[in-house]
Amino acid sequence: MRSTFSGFERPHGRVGTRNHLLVLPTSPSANRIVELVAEHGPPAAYITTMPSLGGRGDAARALTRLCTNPNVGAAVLVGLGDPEDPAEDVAEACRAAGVPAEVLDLRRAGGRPSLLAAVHGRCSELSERLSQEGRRPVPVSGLVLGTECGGSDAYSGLTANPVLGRASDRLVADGGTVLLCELPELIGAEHLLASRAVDDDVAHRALAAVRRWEDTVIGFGEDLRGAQPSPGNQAGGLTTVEEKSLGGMAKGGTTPLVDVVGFGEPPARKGLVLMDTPGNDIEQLTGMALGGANVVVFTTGRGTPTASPIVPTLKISTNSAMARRLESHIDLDAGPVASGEATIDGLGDELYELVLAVAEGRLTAGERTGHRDFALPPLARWS
Amino acid sequence: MTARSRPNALLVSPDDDVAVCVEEVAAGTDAVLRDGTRISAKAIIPAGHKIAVRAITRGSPVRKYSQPIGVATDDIDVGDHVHVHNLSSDRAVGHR
Repeated sequence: MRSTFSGFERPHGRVGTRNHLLVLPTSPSANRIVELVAEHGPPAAYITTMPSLGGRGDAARALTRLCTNPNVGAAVLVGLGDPEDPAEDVAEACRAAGVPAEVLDLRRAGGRPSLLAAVHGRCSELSERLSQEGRRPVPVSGLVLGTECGGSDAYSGLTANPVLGRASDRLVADGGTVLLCELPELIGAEHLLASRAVDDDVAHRALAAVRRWEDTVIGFGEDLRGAQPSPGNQAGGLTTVEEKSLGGMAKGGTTPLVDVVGFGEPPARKGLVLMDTPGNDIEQLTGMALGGANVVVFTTGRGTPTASPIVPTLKISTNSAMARRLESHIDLDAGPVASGEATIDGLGDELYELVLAVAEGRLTAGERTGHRDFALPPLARWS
Repeated sequence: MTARSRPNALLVSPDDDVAVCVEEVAAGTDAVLRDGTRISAKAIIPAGHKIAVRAITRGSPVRKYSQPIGVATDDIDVGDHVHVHNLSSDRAVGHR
C-alpha cells in the first residue's frame, strides 16, 4: 500500500502529477498562433485544436476547468479580443482558484507578429519559473486515474482491460479515484454496473445516464443494444452484448460505484466514478482532463497514439505483436497475459507501480512523442 | 505423444464458467489454463471463442468476469464450445 508520491500541491487538497504551462487558444482563429509558438517555443502544454465555442454560455466554465486541472501550474490564454471571447472571464476564474493566468490578444498586441512575440516571451518566462518549482510528498489518494479503451480488438477485454482493472482496484484501495467513461459502450451491461452502486441514487443515475445515450442513438436510427455484438465481433468470439460491455467495463475494476458525474465534471467523491462521455477517443480524454484527471491509462489493440497535452496518458497494448510494431507509442504490453507468461493480477500490479512512477515524473510514450490531442464534443451534456 | 503444456486458454476470473481459447483448439485436444488445468475440447474451439470449464444447466447464468454474460439455452458440458448456439443474452434483465 502506498500513501504518498512526489507531486505538486494544489489548493483544496488536490494534487498534480505535472506542473504544466498551459497555452490555450480561446477561439479557432488563435489555434495557428499557438501552433507557431509551439514550433520553436519553450516546453509547455500547447493546445492547437480549439473548436468554435459559438458564444455558448458554458464555454468559460469548460476552459476554466481545463486551466484548473491539477496538472496545470499556470495558463496563458491567447484570444482575439472579441467581446464574446471568454478569455478574460476564464483568466479571472483561474486566478480566483489560485492558478496564475493571463490573456494575450490580437487587438491589444497590435497584430499577429507582435502577438506571436508577446506569447513566446511570456511563455518562456513562465515555463522556466514553473520548471523550477519542486515536487513534495502528496497523498496517493489525490490521484484521479482516467481509464479509456480505443482501437479495441478481441483481446481488449481479456488482457489489457482486466490488467487496468487490477490497477484501478489498487488505486481505490489506496484511497484514490478512478474514472470510467464511454457510456455508449456500457449498453447491455449497465444493470450489472448499477448493481455495484453504493446506493439506490447512484444506481438510478447510472442507469438513467446510459439510457439517455441509448435513446439519443436510437433517435439517429441506430439500435446499439440490438446490433451488438456485430457479426465481426461474433466471428471473433463475442457472444452477447453483456460480454462485450463487460470487457470494456473491466478496466474500471471491481470496486463499488460511488458516483455518476457529467462530462468534464470533477468528481466530489473518491472511489470508482462513472463520467458521462461519448465514445469518441479524444472527446473522452478531454472530458477526463476537464474533470481533473491527473493521470490516464488508455488500452488499445490496434494501436492508437492519442494522448492528452496536460494529463500523462499511459498506453497499454492488448497484444504483443502491436506492441512490437508500435513500440514508441506503448508504455506496457499486456500481451503476455494471453500467452500465459503473466497473470492479470501480476501485470496489473506492475501497471500500478508504473502509474505511480509516471505520477512522480517519468515520461509516457505520448509525452515523448509530443501528442496533444484535444476535442470538445458538440453533443455533450455539460453539467 | 507428449500432451501440450503451454497455456492456450485464458480464465479471466477464477470463478468463471468459461475460458477463452487464445488459439484454435482441435476437438479431442486440450485447452490448457495458466495454472495447468486441462479441459478436453468436445468440439473445435476457434481462436477467441469460449470453452466451458464447468457444467452449466439450461436456464442458468453463464459467468465471465465473475458476472453473468447471458443464459445457457441448452445444457452445457465441460469442454463444450460456448457461443450463440447455447448462450443467449439476458436482455430481459435491466432497465427495459
